[in-house]
Amino acid sequence: MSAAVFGLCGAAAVGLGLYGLITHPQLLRKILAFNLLGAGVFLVFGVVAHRGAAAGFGGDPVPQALVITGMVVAFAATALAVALLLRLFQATGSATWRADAASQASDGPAGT
Amino acid sequence: MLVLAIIVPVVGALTAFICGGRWTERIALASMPIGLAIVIAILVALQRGGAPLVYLLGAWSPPLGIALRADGLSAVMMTVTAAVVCAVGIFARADFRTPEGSSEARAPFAFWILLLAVWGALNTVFLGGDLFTLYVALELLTFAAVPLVSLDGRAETLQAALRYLLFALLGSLLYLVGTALIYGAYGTLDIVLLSGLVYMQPATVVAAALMTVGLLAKTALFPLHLWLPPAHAGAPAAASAVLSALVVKGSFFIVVRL
Repeated sequence: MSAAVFGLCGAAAVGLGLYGLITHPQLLRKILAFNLLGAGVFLVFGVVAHRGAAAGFGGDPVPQALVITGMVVAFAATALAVALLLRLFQATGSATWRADAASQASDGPAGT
Repeated sequence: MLVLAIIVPVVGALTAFICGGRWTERIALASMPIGLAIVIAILVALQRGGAPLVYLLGAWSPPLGIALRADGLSAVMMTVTAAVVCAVGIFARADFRTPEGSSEARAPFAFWILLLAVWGALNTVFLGGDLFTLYVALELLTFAAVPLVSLDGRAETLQAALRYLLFALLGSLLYLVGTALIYGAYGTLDIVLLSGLVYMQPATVVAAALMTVGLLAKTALFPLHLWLPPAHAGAPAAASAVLSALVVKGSFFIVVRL
């Protein structure tokens, strides 16, 4: 499998993630799309690592370090986003994008 | 000394988190003059020396190591940041004082810690000498600023904070893609080395375009400004001051660097 196939897959993942992040109104799907976007970016990093591999090394270690750091950052970001989403759900009873979140909050959870 | 400028706010935030209660406010207010003094010392040393101050982490020089650089622009931005943070701290004492009779309240506790975290992240942004340090600092800035938006816990502020977070994360990822392309093209991420190596080729142009777009999303320049009004309208006054004055300028500073 040449590195180009991985690169194209990474680009496709970035494209799909971007589309999902922008178009879906459900916030959980936005968070998942962001994770897909991140996975695509890290795959591109992996392709860069392969192209930079000197003879004798399996792959350039610097992009691998960058990918690990990026994964930790994306994990922390996902945790923060999910925590905010949970709190939003507790406050309004829905996890969808609403332009009138204030009136949602006055209705209370489950619309009672 | 450059490292001290980053360490003082971060240590302040950690000790404030551990001590809790009324100590968060006292530790935050105590660390502000220390940070301001360090930043002014850097400014003075820079003027006396005439050349940018460089600090090599672990004494490893680039391209293998990470360098912290303070040149004129960084020093000025750091001084302004310290001044604004001190002013915000003095102003916010009225809003975020822990009430008498209770040992700890949620909003003041979070506010002071986040203020110090934002300050530490901003100093890292201004001092970072290679693209990946800038990425990490930018993420730190985002994670510290997003909770400031939703500090009072109302539904609109929570949604505004989530919107800010998603926009900012998209910006960071675009910046990261640009960094990956630049590393693939030139083999180094250190800004000083890159300035000697960069020449016009499709990879450079695409990378620069991606990174600029990503950073513009964080700076809320049109047309990527949709997250800004709800976020600032919902945040408490002191937090809004910090957000508009400093956080968006941090990402713009990186655009200027590039």
